Amino acid sequence: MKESVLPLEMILFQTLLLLVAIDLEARVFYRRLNVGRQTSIKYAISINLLATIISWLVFFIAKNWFPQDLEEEVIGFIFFDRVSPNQTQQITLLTVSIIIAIFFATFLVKLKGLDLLQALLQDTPILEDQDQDQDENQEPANKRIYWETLANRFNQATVYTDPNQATTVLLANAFSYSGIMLILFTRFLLKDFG
Amino acid sequence: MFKFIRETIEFFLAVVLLEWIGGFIKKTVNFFIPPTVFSYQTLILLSIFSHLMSFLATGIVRKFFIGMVGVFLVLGVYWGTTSNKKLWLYRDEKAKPKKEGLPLSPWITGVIVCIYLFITFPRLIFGSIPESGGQAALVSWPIISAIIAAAPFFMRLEGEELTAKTPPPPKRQSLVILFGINILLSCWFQFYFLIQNWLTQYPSLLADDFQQSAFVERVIPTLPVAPRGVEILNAMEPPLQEQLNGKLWSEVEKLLLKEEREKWVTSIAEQAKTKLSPLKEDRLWEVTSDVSSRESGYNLELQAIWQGPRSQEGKSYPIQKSCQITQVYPQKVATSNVECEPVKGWGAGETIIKQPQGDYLPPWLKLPTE
Repeated sequence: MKESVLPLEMILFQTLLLLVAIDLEARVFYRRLNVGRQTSIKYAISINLLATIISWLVFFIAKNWFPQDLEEEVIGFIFFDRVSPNQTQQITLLTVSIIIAIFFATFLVKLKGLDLLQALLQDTPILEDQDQDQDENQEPANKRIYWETLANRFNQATVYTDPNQATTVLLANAFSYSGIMLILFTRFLLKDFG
Repeated sequence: MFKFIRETIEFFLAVVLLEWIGGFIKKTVNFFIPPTVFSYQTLILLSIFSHLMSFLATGIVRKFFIGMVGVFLVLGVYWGTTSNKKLWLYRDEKAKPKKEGLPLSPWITGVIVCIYLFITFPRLIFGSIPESGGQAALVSWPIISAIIAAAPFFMRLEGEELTAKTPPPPKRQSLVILFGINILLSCWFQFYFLIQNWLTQYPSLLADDFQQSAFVERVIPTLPVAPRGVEILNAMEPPLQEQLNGKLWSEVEKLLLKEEREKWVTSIAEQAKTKLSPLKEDRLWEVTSDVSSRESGYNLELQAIWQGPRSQEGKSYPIQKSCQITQVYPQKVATSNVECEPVKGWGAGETIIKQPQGDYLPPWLKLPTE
């Protein structure tokens, strides 16, 4: 009975919103980051998936600490698409501030995600196939150096950010947010007046 | 004559059927006979063999054999499904450059791995399946499958030796996306279980309809469920009888006074809720009472009102139960007698889900209309 209640619409919505965000962000990356079309799309897919997964995890963890009032509000929102009417004023204010907070949180996640992704994708100059065949004794040392350089690059990526890249990610995030907001707003209008 | 023809036809049909069955059996047997010793059929046969052995053995040996069934089965299925060219997506060996494609085998193998990890092994080791075993298996299935799919890119066969390696940068990018998609799938499964969890804690939600929801959908239309308020009111009847039945009339009248009444009605309601196994939604059911005089006695009206989330705002859906309290004279003094009517209101006869409007319910589920 209750098992037949599936989150199908959530899956459809999330897929749609992800596709829109990926499309818009890939365009921005292609224009501003000096990378090819394929690369920019792959960058956009990776960082958007990362942001989505992190927000899911935050939700799953945070819901354990929800007071029951808040839990009931969330349930009302998920099952009936409405929050309780007696708190409209505060809820709207709260919603707006949450949306702004989420915007900057996703911006940070995407920025650092892109930095780390680029660090991960850099080719390793040390570990070449020919070198390995020549002297096998060197291999463990090479491997150690390789992991060290990878860790180094990760460290650098977390600390340092290219200003151009930061602007690009901020712009891309703004674009995808506007797109998503537009879709949600359209849905809201269609629901109320349609 | 006709009989003869019919018998001939039946005879031929039987021959065809037997031939078909024979061919089928031959194919199945052939499928399991390994072409060489070094093949996946060997592994599957080994797993069947250790399953048979586990029947003969007892204790720790039996557990060992059942464990081996899993290992052989996982390896055999992985090998078999990976070598099957039909189970690859986007594979094109003729295209230039050659398209590697995506094997489906990790996800098929992942099913068996998850079942073994979260259901069979706990049963072997602890003797019982954990309550959330199925949930854990389903949620971790995409992630485990992604790990299985990624594993070959981190290994290299050098002669006889298997060594670790790092995949080339383009492969790393696709692995990142592969893991991202699979972890997202896991999150969706987890969300499904979160919803199920909420529906167990707030079962009255099922009495409402989810048509406005942007998240969930009732896939199989079912008959509307009675909200829990009905059960609560029914469970309140015995303690109510106990409270009011067979008492002196003056005492009963005192109990029915507003302040006094509110106290014991709430305590009875609490009792009823705890008796029905307490749930999180209990505090959302508010039970009120009202008394009106009627003929020589009183009419006590109990009302359960749902305060929780619902699809139509601004309306309350009360559920009522009215009880008649009358005077009886078993001896010389007047004592009370309580009789309650069945519950009326939301979920008991009338529902807030608009139904049955043709397409909402399949015909065999339609309620008889009055």
